[in-house]
Amino acid sequence: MGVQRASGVTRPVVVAEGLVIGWAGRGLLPPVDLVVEPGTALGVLGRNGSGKSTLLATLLGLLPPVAGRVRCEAVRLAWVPQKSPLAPDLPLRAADVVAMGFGHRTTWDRWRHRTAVRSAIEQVLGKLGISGVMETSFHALSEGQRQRVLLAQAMVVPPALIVLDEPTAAMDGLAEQGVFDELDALRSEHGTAVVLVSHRIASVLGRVDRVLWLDRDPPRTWQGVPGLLEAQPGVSEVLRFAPGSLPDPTAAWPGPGWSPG
Amino acid sequence: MSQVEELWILFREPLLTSALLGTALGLLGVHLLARRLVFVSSALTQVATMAVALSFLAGVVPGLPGPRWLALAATLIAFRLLLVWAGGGAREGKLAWVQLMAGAVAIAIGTRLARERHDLDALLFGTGVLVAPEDLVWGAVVAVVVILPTWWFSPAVLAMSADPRGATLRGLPSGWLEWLFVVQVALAVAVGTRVLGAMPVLALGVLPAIAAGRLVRGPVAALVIAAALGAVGGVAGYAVAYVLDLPVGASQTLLAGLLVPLASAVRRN
Repeated sequence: MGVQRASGVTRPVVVAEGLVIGWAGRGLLPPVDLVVEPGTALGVLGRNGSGKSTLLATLLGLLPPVAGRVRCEAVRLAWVPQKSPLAPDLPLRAADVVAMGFGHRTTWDRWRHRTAVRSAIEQVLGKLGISGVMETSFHALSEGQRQRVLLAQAMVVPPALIVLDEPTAAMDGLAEQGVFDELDALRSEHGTAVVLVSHRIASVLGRVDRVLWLDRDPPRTWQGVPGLLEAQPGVSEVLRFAPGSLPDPTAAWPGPGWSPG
Repeated sequence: MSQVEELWILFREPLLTSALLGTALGLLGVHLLARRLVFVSSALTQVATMAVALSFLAGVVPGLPGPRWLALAATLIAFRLLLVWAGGGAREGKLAWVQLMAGAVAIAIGTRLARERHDLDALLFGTGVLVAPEDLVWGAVVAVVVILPTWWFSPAVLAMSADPRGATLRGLPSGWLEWLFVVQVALAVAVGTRVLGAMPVLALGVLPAIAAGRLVRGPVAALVIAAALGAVGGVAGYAVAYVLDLPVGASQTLLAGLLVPLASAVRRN
């Protein structure tokens, strides 16, 4: 799968060859080969501490690989971290946070595009269901609203690659559904490639084209289509207790063989 | 000649220099707070003081640059090193070590410098009355170097202060912007410490920004308000010192400090 660019050539957005992730020269996992193509979605899943966030940081060039190499071809990158990275001592309204997504350098840039910027901010916040918070202090918002404002910042100018680390962890199911719908629209309309880490495994499996499973006990990785994930050793017990895949507590106990639909 | 005219002639250089430095420090304070570098700037004021004290000690060596240049060079190098060094673990401990060592060295040198002892006290606590015409020129240089780039590149500079990693990923020239910030802070702290003293430099570089953060919700408004409050704190400190017969550095610090509860009260109402 892939989206043709204006030049008519389809090129992967991220290519990793023999990539070993880790800290201070110590590898966490065996080497990984990875290709992320335009318009596709890759889910990065695994237990706590399996190296998911480290992988994302390495793909984005924020951490050097222990071995192997990563080539990121995306001209425009967007990153939505697990927790707000914004300085709590800087006064910021939600609209200011989203405006940073334009990457303007000068006051002149900001001033001459001010009408378009305003309209784009209103539109993206509206799509994510938080149009009412535009002038509200970012730091006064709830955790879930802050996550959506950070998503709006990442999406306001459609990126070639969007990397999301637990982007819906503080959201209710309805808000999460809306976010995933917007990500799908970004993929289909703009050819944005999505790399997504989430503990809500059941929600993710229905939204991605491929899965990268990371495990550190023992250290191993697995890549494939979502439907084959559960057949991998050690995966089913994680899926059984993963948030978002638990059975309805009001329903009858489904029995020991229950697994997410 | 009226009393006001006499006072203006007497205090013209100190007032204008304090207004310029107060504006620049107020503006930088918003970024220092956002980047959690308040204690770094505190340590830098002590490094600048130590550098000036060392230059007094080495005053007999011909060809050595003057105290202002030594303070600037030492602050520039120290800031760059502190950003790297304090970026790792045990940040608070490292900063405390630098601040205390630099302050102690400055005081220890002061005991060997009977003639410049008064100058050293002025550096640490700020007297602000011995401002020469060339200090006004330096104050203007600081104001231009801080205000113009911060205003023109405000979207990029604010993005760097808010979220440096995000700004880098969005393609902003983070390395260049970081160096600009280092030069601006080093220049403002080195010149400010020499002219106003370490304590008022820290006060004008932090307290107006805290007050501005309580008054407004947007970052650009915070920059404007902090710069204005910095200038007011710098200038009004002289008036209060003159009326109440207080040291200027203490008056400037007290006034800047009063801005914070005042801003909180305004916000509540």
